[in-house]
Amino acid sequence: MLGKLIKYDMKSISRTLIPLWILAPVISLLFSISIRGLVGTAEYAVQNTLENQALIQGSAIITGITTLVFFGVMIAILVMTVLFIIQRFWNGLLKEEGYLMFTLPVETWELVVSKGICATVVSCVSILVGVVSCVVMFMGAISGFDELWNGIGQLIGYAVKADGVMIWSCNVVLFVLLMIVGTAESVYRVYAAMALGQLFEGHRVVGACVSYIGIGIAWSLISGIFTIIVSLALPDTAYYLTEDFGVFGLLYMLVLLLITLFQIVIWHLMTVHILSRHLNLE
Amino acid sequence: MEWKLDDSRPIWIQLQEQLTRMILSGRFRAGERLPSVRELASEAGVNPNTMQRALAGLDAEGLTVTNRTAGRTVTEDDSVLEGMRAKLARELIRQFYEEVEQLGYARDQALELLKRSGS
Amino acid sequence: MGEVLIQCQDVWKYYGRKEALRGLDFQLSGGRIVGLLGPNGSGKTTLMKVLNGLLRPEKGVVLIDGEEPGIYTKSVVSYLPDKTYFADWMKVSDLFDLFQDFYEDFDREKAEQMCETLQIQTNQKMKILSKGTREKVQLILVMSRSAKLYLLDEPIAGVDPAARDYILATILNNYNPEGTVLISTHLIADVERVLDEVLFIQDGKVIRQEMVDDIREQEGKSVDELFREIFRTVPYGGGTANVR
Repeated sequence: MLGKLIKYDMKSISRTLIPLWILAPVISLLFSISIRGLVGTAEYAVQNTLENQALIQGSAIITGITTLVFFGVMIAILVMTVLFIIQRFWNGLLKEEGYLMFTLPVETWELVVSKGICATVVSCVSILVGVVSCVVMFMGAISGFDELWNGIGQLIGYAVKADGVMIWSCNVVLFVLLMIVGTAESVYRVYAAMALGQLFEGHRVVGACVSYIGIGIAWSLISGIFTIIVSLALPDTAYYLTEDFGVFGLLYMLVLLLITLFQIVIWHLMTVHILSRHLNLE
Repeated sequence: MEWKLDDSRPIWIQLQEQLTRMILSGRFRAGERLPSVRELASEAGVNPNTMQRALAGLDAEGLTVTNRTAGRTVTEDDSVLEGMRAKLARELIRQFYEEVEQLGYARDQALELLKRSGS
Repeated sequence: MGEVLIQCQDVWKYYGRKEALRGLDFQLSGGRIVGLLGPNGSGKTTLMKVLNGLLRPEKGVVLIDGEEPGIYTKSVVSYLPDKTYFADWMKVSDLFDLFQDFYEDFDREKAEQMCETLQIQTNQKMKILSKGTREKVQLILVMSRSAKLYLLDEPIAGVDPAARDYILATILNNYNPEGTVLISTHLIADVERVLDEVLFIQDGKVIRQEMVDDIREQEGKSVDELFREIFRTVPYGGGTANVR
């Protein structure tokens, strides 16, 4: 049943986000080409000691427009992704559509997990699209892009040499995992806040916003206290930093991963508990 | 078919009365198969259980016969139909006398009135 | 007739400090069409939500086909809420897909035929359909299931008489005869002739449960009249004019 739920939640993305995901890299490619063009035009003008300002101005205007469009699309992706995550949960479970979803023969946790997985996938794809678009853009904007690539390659080489392939690739895998789990945590935190918010009869939206802030504060208090305790218990963290960077990074990310997973579990249990015991449909 | 139901009496009794009248008036002929409970219920806009009860009433009166193969058919026994016809007629006559007497006529006056208006 | 399908024992439900159900008690058998009748705010919608598992009562026993509201009961209950519940991106056919995927007792062919007779195109998006059409699609979805229990919350409220006839005919022609239909309404005169049995509910309690024909036989009046009698409130200035 979970699979079927995910299928329906995924279906609802197609209308809004997929066109933007395709549009973004294309726009950034145009942007990158137009910058190349601008640089090229300027160089051509200088070399030939031309005083043709119109040529430079023209390509500057094109570059300006593509810059605007590029940032516009990036912001649109960001806004649409956030809106999508909030809307699919709020409208999909806590408003009229809730009458449909909560009377399906499925468990409440399945409804929540389905929304969670879908939102996490959407966020990760949006982030990926953003990164790819930026890389494409920089390829045009920075003339020494090949040197940058080489630099990154060298850096990786040093890291691999220092720590060994094993640890280095573990680091990379963990980092990617951490990004995904971190995204899921942000999604789930918003869900928990909305589940709390719907309890406030008549002030559901305000309730959700206040809950979100409240959850954030509560968590930073708890994690702050936890950090103090840990750093008191383990005074030698600096030792790991200097001694073995790769292993330290690995441990650090592992702990962070566990903490984030723990957070997800808490937000999940909270959301499911509220929705199965105290559902308050309009 | 027109189905008229009033508010104060049990619905199944009214349905049975109207079905009886449909049979006696030849709307359903002797030996003819009646529509299913569901069809009749949906036509009259009533609950199938209620229609079922009315049809069971017809069976009890002998106006209809239910068997497994043919379903529910109108009886081919003329004596039953005649008996029912006479019973309904007697009931109408009784009602007629009752109401006319309420208006202050004696029975034979009423009969005279009936004869004259009948022509 | 039939075994016990719904059993409610001393059911209590609060909204904050307000009591919506106050020790509700009743049993219903299978194979009946039952009216849940009561004035506004008497707890009809709350009871419907408790029966389909949208709300959990604070106290008491609720059993449907012998089980507490949960996955099993949701798979045998077909619920028509008093509002339309569609996602704005969905087409009529998406909803059919959804019902086919989640409810084994959904008869897609029947649903499609019903849409066809109403000339509703299934590739249309829900949000461009009129309110009346959306409500009809919802009714079609609910009545295309061969459920054990149909919970219809105010199915004929706020529609014109023609639509009312269509809705009642659709219910009568399509419900599973072994199942029970529970219709909540305050428009009694319109549904009276389709009901076997009525539950009168007031202040979160069932105050009377009877067969419609028994009421007519014993009281010599319609359920509608009886309802007006029971729930009559004396207007300001005295008198009890029976205004229709």
